[in-house]
Amino acid sequence: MAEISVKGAVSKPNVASPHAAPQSPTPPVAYGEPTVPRKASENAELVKFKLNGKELEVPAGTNLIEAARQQGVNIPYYCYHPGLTPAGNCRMCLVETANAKKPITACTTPITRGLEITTDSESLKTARAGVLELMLVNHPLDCPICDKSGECMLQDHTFAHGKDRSRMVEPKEIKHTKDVGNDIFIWGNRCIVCTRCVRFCDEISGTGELCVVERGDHSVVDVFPEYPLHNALSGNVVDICPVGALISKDFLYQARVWFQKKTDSICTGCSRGCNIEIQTKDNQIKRLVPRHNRDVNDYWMCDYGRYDHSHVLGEARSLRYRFAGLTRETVRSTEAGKALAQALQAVAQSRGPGAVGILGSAFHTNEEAYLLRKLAEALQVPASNVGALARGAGKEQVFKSGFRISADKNPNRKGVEKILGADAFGNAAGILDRVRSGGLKALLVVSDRPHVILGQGPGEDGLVEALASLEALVVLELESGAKFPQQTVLLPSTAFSEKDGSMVNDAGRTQRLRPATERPRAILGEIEILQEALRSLGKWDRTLPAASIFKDLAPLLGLPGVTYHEVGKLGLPAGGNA
Amino acid sequence: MSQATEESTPAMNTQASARIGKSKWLFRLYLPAVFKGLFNTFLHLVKAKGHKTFTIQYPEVARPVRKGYRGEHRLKKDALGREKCVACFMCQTVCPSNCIRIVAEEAPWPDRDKRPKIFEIDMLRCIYCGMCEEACPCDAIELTEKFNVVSTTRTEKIYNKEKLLSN
Repeated sequence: MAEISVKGAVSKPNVASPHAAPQSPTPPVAYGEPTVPRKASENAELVKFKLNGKELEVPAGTNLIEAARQQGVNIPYYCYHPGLTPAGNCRMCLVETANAKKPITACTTPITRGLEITTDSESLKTARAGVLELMLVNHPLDCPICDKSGECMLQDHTFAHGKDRSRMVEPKEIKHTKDVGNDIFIWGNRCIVCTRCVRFCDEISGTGELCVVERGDHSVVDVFPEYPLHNALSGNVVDICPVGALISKDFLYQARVWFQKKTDSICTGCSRGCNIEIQTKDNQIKRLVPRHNRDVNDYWMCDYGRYDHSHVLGEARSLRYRFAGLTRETVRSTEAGKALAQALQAVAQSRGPGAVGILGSAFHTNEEAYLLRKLAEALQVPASNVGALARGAGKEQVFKSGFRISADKNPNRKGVEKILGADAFGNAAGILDRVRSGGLKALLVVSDRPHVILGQGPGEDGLVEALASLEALVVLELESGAKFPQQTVLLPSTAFSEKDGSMVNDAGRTQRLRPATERPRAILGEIEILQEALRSLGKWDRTLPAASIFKDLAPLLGLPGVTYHEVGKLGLPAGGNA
Repeated sequence: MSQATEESTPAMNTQASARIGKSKWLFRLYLPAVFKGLFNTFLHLVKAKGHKTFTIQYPEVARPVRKGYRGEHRLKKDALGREKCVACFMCQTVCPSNCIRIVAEEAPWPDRDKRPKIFEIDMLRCIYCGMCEEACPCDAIELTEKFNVVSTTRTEKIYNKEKLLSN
């Protein structure tokens, strides 16, 4: 099988090229023991405490900010992040307790028995306004051009707790603005030195590139000389920055955040299936950001997945149609599915079902794989002729916090194995061999990059000629680039942000993809084309949405009786709701 | 005239006949009223000589515009002739008729970071409310006193950055 280049961080052409700093030879050794955020242990005893005079009961050791949040009391903070160790350095989360004379920081206070906490006294309001005023002493008023504007915690807290004007008359401190890595700019003037990014690089990625330099008013986040921020998780520091100090070059000036449409989906970069939010504007993906899922990716995602969305509207995107009876009217109509079915059926009838091969891929949703299975059953194709193409293995990366980038770059390998058969991926090489030897006379290929697999990849000599000798070749392709024989039925297929469906990650968790962008020129998706093909064979009644198809295939995934809705935003583990 | 009609307008008949005397037949002739009206017109014709007229000979004469009039938009320039706009999208955000389209890019100048690559206003959608002017933090967009907005195609009414800067 052909080796396909592993998805890598794609740098946009309109972005300034990475600076001249050399690649870090080896990642710096992470210091200290792995640290975990201070969270209550599973079997901690319940303790009573008072929050604003109201008695509550929570597990001992719960973080005070989290305990208050559960009660609807929002304590403002900057440096605290639920995925990182608390630092207590922004002083925004000050609360009062009966046990101490001075206010204490909520983020560093675990709940203990008998704790009495006040979060809304007059002196606390003054304290918060004071903290904010000091933060704004050097913070520039460049919200209109700041990409963080709209999701900036400094904006929100200043609006809620701050003063409406500045008393600062001295000139503001000017700090560096520089390029620190593949995709990150530091806008030093905006930095409020919360050290979230520094702690992220220490605790989560374990690479420790970022540090705080200078003291007092001059302090700002920076990288060490000759050690740029080059790690596979670096994009996360932009997400966790509470202000616009760390800015993504990929997203720089692309869109204001309040215009973006947000869709919960999953990443298809590797078999982990990190939960993400696809943010789009005007039907274009502007950025992908991680979505919290404790069981999969926590709060993070890797850069390979984060920046791999340019292919959706890329130059190589295929919108080619080629089938018998193609006219301006029949394009995008049910004729496409009919053409697909007729081409395969003709061979199955004249040469027998054993002469038909079906090749899916590991990029299918479960629903698409299920329809391929149904098509194979309808044409009575033997199981050894049904296969699925997989991408070659990449490099596995495990970070200090345990965050893992899988070596398997096939997002739905498990799901396709469960639906098309456990040896579907093993069959693929055999099917291509039989194409070469002339054993197969018809082939259906549904893949995102078929040209790489079918003949134009390295080490695939002989396949191009073999494809030309096929009686029927049907290709559903996402990216064009291959020259297929003249009689090939060619149809476009859909990208990950256009699919509605479910996938199974490497831990056996079923998760949902949701359509975030509309398909270019309203093309039909695999899910419609395959249903139409089945309908023309008399094996399907009407075009159903993914939710209805999922109901049929749920038992194959080990989730009998589970509906599409119940899979939910966070997905379901292999055993269902256990 | 039938009895019924006379009964239906008694008030008018009595008033009018009171004005021109008791003579009902003279009133029915309408001629006194016609001559009275013509005399009034002639009187105004004589009186108007040397007095102020209110009709403006538009389009030969430009209509005076009051302060604060909201006409076509203009993008302002700074002292160096560059657009003042920093592409903050505030006008696009506040626009109630959704007629502004901006695409931002990195500014080539050292004194600022961002500028509009595309700045388009669809004048056919615009309701000339002036909210964009109010929302602008850089005083970069304003509504001029131009109201003579004529074009022969719809595409002409989508003003681009160059048009708005020279407006």
